[in-house]
Amino acid sequence: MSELVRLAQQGDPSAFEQLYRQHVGRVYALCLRLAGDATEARALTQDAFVRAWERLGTFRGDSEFSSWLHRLAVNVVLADRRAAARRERRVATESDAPAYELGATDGWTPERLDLEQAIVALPPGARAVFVLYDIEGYNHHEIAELVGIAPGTSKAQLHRARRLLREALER
Amino acid sequence: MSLGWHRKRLDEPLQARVKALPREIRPPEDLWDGIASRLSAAPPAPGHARLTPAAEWGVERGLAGLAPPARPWGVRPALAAALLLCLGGVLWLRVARHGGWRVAESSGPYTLAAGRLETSAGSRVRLGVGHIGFVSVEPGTRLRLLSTRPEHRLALERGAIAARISAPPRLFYVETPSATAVDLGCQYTLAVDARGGSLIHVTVGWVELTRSGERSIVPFNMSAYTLPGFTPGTPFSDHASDSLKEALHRYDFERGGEAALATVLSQSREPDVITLWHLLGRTEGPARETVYRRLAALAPPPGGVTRERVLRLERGALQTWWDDLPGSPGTLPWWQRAAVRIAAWLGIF
Repeated sequence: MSELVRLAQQGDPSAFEQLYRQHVGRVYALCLRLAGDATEARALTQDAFVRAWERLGTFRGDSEFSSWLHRLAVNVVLADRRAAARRERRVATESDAPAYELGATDGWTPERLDLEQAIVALPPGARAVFVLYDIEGYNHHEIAELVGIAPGTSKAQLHRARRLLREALER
Repeated sequence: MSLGWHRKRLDEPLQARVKALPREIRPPEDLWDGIASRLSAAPPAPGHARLTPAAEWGVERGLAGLAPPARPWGVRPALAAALLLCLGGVLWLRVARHGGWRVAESSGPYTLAAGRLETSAGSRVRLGVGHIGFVSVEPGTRLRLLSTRPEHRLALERGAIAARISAPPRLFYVETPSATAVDLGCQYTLAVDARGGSLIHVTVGWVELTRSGERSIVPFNMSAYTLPGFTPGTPFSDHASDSLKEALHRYDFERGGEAALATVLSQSREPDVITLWHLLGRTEGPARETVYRRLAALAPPPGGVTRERVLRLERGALQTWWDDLPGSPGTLPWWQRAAVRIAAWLGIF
């Protein structure tokens, strides 16, 4: 277990801030791709780090801190998605479509932007499985457990997502 | 050749592009301030070796990390009645606290798209905050609706709002470029200028201003400035003299030093004790002792709150003194405190 994690577990906020600086890029990328909305992604990223702070005491060092944090962030986003699906959360307006803002990062190309936007346009279920499997490297059993679906459904959603992406990118 | 092979062939170009996607994307703005403002409110994690960071910060960073003043309870009969109310309130909150944003009233043209609300120079919007209150958005204001869970949170980029929240503390947050205003059960106005500086004026209850773990507690009938890059300004009373306010501004934001502090102390009267209490944690050495002497002259410390404990910024001593200060919520009669509390729960401010 790293010294920073140990200090943060003891309640040192500056150590936790350093952990935030180290990992915010990966957590934000995950939230952005799963939520498909930059405003939501910012809120979810904050939620994930607050949740991590609250649960730091449960991290035993059996895995990498980044893996633990990442899985926790996935749970935060998926729980929020499930809750969002059950209720009307926001002011509804005609132009209230998901807003995919470019992050403050280098390397944006038209080709990459096309792919990112095509991912955002996927149906939520297919998007979640695609992001977790193809980008984040989870296997179908892990995704099934995280999302609350059968492994077979995860596979079907992945194929559907890939097909929709191919179609979108060929247009 | 199987269907799997066929799919794999089709997927290869896509997989190559996906593999090229970066694993990290930096958010367009630093999110740490918003996180830090919530860490101090978060409960201690099971397994933490020490107590909450807030308790630690109280010693290590002066008054900045002190918990906000304890909500006014303490009399057993009131507690018994409140318990029943709370149970009902919890049920009510489970339904009401997570409601969405909604435009309740408007006058003149405004735009609302993708979570961004902007009023024109001649328009106003009254925005519902779930079922816990309203925000009046003044002309020429731009804000972003950030979230409704786990609390309502918006970012005021420029312009002014008037918030009226009837709910327990920490359900409504307003982020500005220079600090985050945390509602502790209150009504207030908040304006942000082009430089990102802000001025808050509290009329009911109190508000916590926080930035990177540093904080100011602004009770009713008091105001405070904030400026990007600075600790939230020291609160000042509506009844403070102009010279005190000017000197306080110099001390907080213009490196006014001893001269500005001397003016603040010489101009301070009884309504300024909350200001002086904050200054204890914003001074050091002899200056802190001078602040202590002036505050003790205006509001003698209660039993057990010794000079030595205050100068060491012991959290318990400072909290006890805060609770005893004239005008602080802790000094209201229990029935008044209960009435305010009940009114907040019922939404009848």
